[in-house]
Amino acid sequence: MVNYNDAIVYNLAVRGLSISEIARARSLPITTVENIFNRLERRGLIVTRRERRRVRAEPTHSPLARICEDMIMLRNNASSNPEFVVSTALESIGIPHAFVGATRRKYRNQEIRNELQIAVPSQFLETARDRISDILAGYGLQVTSRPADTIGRANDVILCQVFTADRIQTEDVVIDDQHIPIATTALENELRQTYAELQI
Amino acid sequence: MSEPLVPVSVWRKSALDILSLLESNSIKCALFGAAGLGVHNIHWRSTYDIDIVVDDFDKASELLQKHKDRYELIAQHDLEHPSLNYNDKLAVGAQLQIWNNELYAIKMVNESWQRVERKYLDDGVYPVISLEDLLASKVGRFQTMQHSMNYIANQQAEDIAGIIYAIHNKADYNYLAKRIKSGSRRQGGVGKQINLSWYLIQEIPEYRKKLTQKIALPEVEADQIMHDFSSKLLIRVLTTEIDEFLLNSIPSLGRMSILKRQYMLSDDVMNFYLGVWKENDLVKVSNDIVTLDEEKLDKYIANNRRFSPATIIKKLRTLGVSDRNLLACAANCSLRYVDKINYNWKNH
Repeated sequence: MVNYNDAIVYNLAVRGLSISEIARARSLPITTVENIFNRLERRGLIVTRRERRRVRAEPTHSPLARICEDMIMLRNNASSNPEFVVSTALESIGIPHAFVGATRRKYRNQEIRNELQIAVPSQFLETARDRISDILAGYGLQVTSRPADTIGRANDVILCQVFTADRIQTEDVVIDDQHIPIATTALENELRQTYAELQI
Repeated sequence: MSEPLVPVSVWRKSALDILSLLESNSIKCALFGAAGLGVHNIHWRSTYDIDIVVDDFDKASELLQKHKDRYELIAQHDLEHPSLNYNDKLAVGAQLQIWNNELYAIKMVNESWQRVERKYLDDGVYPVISLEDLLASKVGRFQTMQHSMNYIANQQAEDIAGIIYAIHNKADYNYLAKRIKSGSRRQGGVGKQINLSWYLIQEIPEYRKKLTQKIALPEVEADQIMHDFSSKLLIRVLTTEIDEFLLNSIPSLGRMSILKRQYMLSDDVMNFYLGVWKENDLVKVSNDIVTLDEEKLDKYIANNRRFSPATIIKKLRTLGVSDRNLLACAANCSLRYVDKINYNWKNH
């Protein structure tokens, strides 16, 4: 088993970064990076060598290495298109939802930000919030509702704002066989009058 | 806007490819613009093109010419802003703009190249200009674009608000001030070249607005951050352009307190300009109401008086500004003056 931290460290290590350089680049303690290096070496993903005081890694032909690269790709995709994973997750537990504001503009005006703005019926508000943070945590991403929290950590933290609407009216956009329910203009306008966060 | 916006997932891959191509051919390069903002983790957003500055423009264009199966030249900018636009054929829709030692309105100098950071993200290594340079390069874009391209203008102000939030307590203000004073931008894109400080002072209320609107900070916190930022920066950027702009805004604002609050001026900065105005009999202040002698103003502006280091130091000394600030101001005026002040200070 490898987790997201392992995959990130692996990807940086095979690009020639030493333990201390990775620790500095990712703001991780050196001991954590050392432990990951040891774990990756035990599992045959890398071979470490010492260059004076620095420890560097060389990749092996392990099939797990490919998984590490794919994990990073998956994480980046989830980070730039969180609505794909969130929509599937909410559908699976039967919560009606519509993407509004910045997420809606992504499909209407091609204005893309890694923000998630979503409307759900009021009775599902808490469940939806929990489910969204759980599903994104599975990709190694944190969720916040304060835009200021994402500044300086935009790679790891996603702005997610959940709003309530009485009636969820959606129109589907199909991307790569996946249906993304975005709010109708009427619903968007209605919510824009209630929530300041949705105003452009 | 006819050009399509390039999504993050596309430009990120494309940027990584071209940066590694340039670096493997020993060409110094760095990202800036919206891509730079993403790499600095301020926020990721789609952009019209990926801006890359290179130190050896000829070598870079020769290299990309060799890879024309991959990078297709689609536009060449004028001599005033030498840059080449390429289309990354593999990353459909991604456009690359290669700049010759220039960041829109400021030049890359040796110090800027030394400050280029190598950011290790999970998919690779991105060289990117420092946040101070990024901020200075974006100053003035809101003003020049707000009437023609309102949407992009707002994005520029949001970008700067994000940078201010990230660096207000750790920025190198001396360097930032130096960069702002060294840059200039054409008014309305085609008018005369004006120093970036003129744009900066005008855009300060907009940055504050974006801190409350887009970054959703409470009013008090936004005020505090902006005040902290502008007081540290404007004391180092004492220019004729700011002086003239503030003088011209007196008739519409009318009160000192409003002028101070509108442009987030600290006491030191306000007293400095007020001292100069009073010395030239330009303004009269009674009970916070400030009146301007417009006849004298025309003559004052026509003289095109520049603040020399000596004027600044002398004026700030009489206002009782601390030695630390005085040194910072002097550092931005002339190195000779720093030595002199340092000498006096040590022997004091």
